[in-house]
Amino acid sequence: MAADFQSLRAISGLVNTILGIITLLLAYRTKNNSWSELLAAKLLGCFLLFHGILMTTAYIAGFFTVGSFANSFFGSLVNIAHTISIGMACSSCLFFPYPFVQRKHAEQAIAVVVLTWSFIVTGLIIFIPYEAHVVRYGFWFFPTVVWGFVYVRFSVKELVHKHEHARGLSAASGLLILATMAWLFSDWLLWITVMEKFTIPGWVSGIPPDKNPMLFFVRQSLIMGVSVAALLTMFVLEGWRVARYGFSVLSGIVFGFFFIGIISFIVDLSVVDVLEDCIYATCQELPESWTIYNTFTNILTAFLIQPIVLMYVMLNFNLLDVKTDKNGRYAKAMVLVLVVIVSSTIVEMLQSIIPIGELRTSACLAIGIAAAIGWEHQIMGQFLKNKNRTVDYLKSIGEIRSVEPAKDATPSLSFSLIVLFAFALLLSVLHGAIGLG
Amino acid sequence: MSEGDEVFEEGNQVSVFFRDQETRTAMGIYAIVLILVTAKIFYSLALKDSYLHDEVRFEDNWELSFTEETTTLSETVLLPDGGEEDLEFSIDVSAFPEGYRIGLVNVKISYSETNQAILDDPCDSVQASITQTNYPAQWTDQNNTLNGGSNSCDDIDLTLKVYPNYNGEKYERMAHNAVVAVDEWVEDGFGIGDLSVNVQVDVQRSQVPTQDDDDDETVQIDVIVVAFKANAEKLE
Repeated sequence: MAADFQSLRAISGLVNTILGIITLLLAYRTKNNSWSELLAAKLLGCFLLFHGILMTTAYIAGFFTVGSFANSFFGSLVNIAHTISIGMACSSCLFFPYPFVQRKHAEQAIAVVVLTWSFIVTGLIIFIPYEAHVVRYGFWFFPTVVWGFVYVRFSVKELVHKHEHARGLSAASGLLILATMAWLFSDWLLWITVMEKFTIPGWVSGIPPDKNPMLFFVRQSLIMGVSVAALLTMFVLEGWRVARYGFSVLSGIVFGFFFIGIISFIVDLSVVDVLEDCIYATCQELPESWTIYNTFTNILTAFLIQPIVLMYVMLNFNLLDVKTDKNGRYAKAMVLVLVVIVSSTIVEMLQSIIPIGELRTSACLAIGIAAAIGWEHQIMGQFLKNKNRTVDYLKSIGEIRSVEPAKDATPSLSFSLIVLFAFALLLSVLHGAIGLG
Repeated sequence: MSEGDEVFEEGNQVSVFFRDQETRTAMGIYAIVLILVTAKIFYSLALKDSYLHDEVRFEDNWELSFTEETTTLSETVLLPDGGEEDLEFSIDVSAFPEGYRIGLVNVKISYSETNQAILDDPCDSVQASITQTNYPAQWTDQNNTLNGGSNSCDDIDLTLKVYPNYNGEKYERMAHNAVVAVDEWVEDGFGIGDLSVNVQVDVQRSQVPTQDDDDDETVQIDVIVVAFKANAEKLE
């Protein structure tokens, strides 16, 4: 299964990169949407693109890196892509689904912020790698908290104050939380009960002896705390909503993760003895069955659920204009790419644990892909079924200002994207050649 | 519209977001849940069982010593002049307490001149060797003495190292815990099996004519099996 984990990383890298490119193409061709939605689409497109580069590079690095990974070309590229993707995710939560920043020069301000963030954090990683890595990852806390508050506010608006269209905002923010933090959801019950049984042998032992563990503890508590609090809150509010309005995509996924968390708790308890051996005796390998379960929950969530949910959000919440013929073709290509890759991946993963012959598995794979292509129309229809316009609702409650964004001012997001690409490549080449830091 | 029909053109949009009276309580409850869950996770991660953190992060210095136990398997054979015999000794750990492993095997071959003739019958010549078989031991160890001989009635001492690198001496090593510190010394299987010892005798005759010469010799073979148990003691 270790091999599957690595190939899943490669597949995820490919999916994210392709989706990122198509999203950016569509975003730059979209003319009629609100400026904040369009900016959010560009930021999420950039996030997907750099996340894809991060995943793909990390996969390739496994084959080509000789010596220290951190001091290699690939190691540096992974670091920079990760930094930029976090910067993009943190920026996007300020514009979608609730536009906290409604200023004429918002795009320019965000371009400057992302550039500054990327330069500073990348520089810090060269000189104080442990501290910079820990703090950088902690920034995932920010979008989760922001989307959490948006979710709660507009869920209550819908459920208590009967604002029917508030659902668009709560659903979008809930799905965005799932897209970014769902990999922590499948063990939520373990995290709030006996997490130390896992973290002491698993995480604490990995902290270098000369580093302060408190920084790591604070960071990890923050991102896990906001994630688990968001899941539990969504479970309660979605439960309330299901009783009133019936199931939705978000409620289905939230309930799914809630129950997976309970099953995972039982599964995880079964390997506590093996982990305790790491403290009191010598570490043994975790059972194969546990590794398979973990691959099908945590790793699948982290690598494949994220791009699917992000794409659903972008198509379903009108971030991209897919009504015109040419844009529609791009959107269909995006859905097709995702559906084919995901279905073939899942069939391949099943094949790796079910001992059946190659000919039969190839047939299963072909059937899976054919079914996915056959259902493409229905899947696309499902993605575009409810065209929620969050901006229209916000206008109706008077929370959208009449802002005319500055069109020709620099630096634009496109400019910063070009600078970031050049920066990432140049620094990685330098890093690989002379080993900075 | 919930806040009247006005558009919030002035002020920070964040304050507009939190200004909403209808949802402020719910957001407050969410903030409390968030703080409580984060605090609980921080407690589990950083404070609970924190004494184990140093245990798993830092290696301690351990002194390793060995407690030894021995057992002896003996056999006596009467060999004629020019005679040779292969003797098999079956070795296992059942003779030792729980947790002991076989470290090395010493073989002692002893004999004396049994012919009590006047003007001494000279000592016979005895050759002995530990025969290399599939007995699990360190056959190529440089400290082995696998064969030897005597024609002066001195004992012949042979040694075969059984457990890799075992010499019975104390040493220090860095490890996370006592189990890891002794992990080099807990492998099973070494030294369990049949050890084969070959003995040859050449009877030396007296130089004095008319003496009664013997034409055989009694040889005693003692196989001393040394087993050990590793003990780790944490050094301050």
